Amino acid sequence: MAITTQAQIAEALPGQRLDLAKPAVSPGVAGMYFSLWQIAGNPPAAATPTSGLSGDVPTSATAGAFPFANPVAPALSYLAGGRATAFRGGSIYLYDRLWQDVLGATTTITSQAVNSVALTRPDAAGADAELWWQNYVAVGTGTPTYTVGYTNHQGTAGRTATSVLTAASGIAGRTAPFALGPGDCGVASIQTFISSVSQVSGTIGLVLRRKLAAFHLSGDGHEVVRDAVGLSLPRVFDDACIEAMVIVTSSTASMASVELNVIQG
Amino acid sequence: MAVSSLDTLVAAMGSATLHDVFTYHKTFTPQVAGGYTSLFNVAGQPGADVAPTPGVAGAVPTDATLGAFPFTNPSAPALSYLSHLSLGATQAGVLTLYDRLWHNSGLSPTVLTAQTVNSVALTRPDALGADAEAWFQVYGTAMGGGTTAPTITYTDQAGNTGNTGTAQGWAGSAGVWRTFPFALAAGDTGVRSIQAYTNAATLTGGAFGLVIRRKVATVFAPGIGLGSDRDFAGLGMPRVYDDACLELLWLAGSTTAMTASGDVDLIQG
Repeated sequence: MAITTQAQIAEALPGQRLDLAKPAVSPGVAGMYFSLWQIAGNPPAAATPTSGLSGDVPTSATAGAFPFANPVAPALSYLAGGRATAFRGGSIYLYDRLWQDVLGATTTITSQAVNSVALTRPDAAGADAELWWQNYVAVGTGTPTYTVGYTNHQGTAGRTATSVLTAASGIAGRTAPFALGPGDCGVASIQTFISSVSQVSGTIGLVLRRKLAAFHLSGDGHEVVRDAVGLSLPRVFDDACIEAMVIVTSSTASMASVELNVIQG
Repeated sequence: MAVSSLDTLVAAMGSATLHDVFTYHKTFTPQVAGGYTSLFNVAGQPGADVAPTPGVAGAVPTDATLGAFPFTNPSAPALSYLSHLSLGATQAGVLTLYDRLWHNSGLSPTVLTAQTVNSVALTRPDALGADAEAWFQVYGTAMGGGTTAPTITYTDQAGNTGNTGTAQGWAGSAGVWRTFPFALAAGDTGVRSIQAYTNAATLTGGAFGLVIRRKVATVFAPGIGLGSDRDFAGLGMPRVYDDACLELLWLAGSTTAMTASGDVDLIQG
C-alpha cells in the first residue's frame, strides 16, 4: 500500500526520526561541496572505504549512514519532512550513497580498472545516479583533470565523464560532481579512472549518489523546515545509505543539524 | 486520475510511475553579471551535447534531444506538471526552467541584409506560440563583435505577421552559450514563427542561432552557497507538455566560476 493520501501521511507521521548532528564542520572554503560522511558526530564518522577499486554498496547499516528499518513489503519508505539548521548559511544536501570505492595512489597517472560492483537501489540501472569524486585524506599539490569511463543509465558503455571542480591541496571531505557524456542522466557502472597529473599525496575515491532532498539556509543560524508535499514526497529505497553534504557561504567552522521523518506505507 | 486534489497530488508524488525526478549539475563561468546563459550545452548532468545544426528553418527539440531531461509522456487524458524545483548554487543568480520549443542554426554573423528563417511550426501544445519567447543564442564559438542589437521579423501569437523584435541587453563579443531575449512589438505576448533575422551591424564572427522558449518556472540563489526551492503550490503547478525539451537558463549575479545544481520533479495525473 503506497502513500496516496494526505491522511495516510498524517497517520504515518512521525515515522522513523533520523537525526544528524555534526558539531565541528570545517569545509575549508566557501562555495565548494563538502561531505559530512567522515565528520564526527551523529551518525558517527564513516571510515575510508577498504573495498578497493571495484568498491562496495554502502547501506543504512554502514557506519556513517542514518540507520533506519526497511518497511514490510509492499510498503515503501518516503521522506515526509525535515528540518535543517547550521551556524553558517548555505545548503545542506541529503543523498543516498549508492556506491563507493577507493582509488590507487594519487601519484598514479595511468588508467585504473575500476569495474564497479553493481548498484542495488532501486536496481542496477543507475537512473539519476550522480558521479562524484571525494577526498578521504587531504591531497597534495597538482590540479588534475579526472576522466572516468562509465556505462550510462541506458546501458550504453564507453561513455566519458570529466571532472570540473578539482583543486590542488583539497582537504579531506572535499567532493565534486563529474560532467557526464552528451545526454546522460545517470551512471550505472564505472569501468576506468585516470588522473591527468599526480597529486603527490592523499587518498581519493569515486562515489555514486542519488539526491534525496536539499535544505537551503539563507543565513547564519537559520533553519529550514520542509514537509512531505513541499519535498514532493521523495522515495527512500530499502537499505538507503543516507549521507549529508554541504555548501557553505563562508569557510568559518560551523555545525550542522538535520532531523528527518521517514514514513512507510 | 487527474491531479485535482491534494490527495491525488500525494498519490502522484508517492507513485513510482507517476513521479519523475531529474537531477542537474552544471559548472560554468558566466561572462557578465546580469546576463543570461543557457545551460543546455554546458557540461554537467544531464550531459551536454554540441550545438544543434538543423539549419535556418530549424527544428522542434524534444525530451529526446541530448541535453534535455528525458521522460515518458503520460497516458491520455493524464497531464504532466512541475511539482517541485530546487536550486543550490555556489554563486548568486536566478535559474529559470524553460521548454525549448524551437531552435535553428546556419545564420550568418556578417550578412547585413535580412536572412530568411521561415521557422518550422511549433508543436507544444500547438502551433500558436502563446507565451513563447524568441531569443538569440550563442553556440560553441563566441561572437566576434558588433555592439548594435540584431532584430527578427516574426508572426505573433494571434497570427499577425511583419512584427519586429530587437535583442535586449545586447553585448558585442558575447561568450559561448550567452542568450538574449528579443523584445516583442507592442501588444504581443508570444511568437508563433520567425520569418527573418537581420544583423544591424556585422558581428564579425561566431556561431549562433535563434531559439523560441516558453517559461515554466523560476527559482533563485540569493548568495554564495545558497539556494531555494519551490513546491507545487509555490510554483503554481505549471503544465509540462508532452515531449517538452526542458532547458535551464541562468541569470548571473557574478562572473565567478560556479556550479548550479538541483532537482526537477514532474508528476502526472
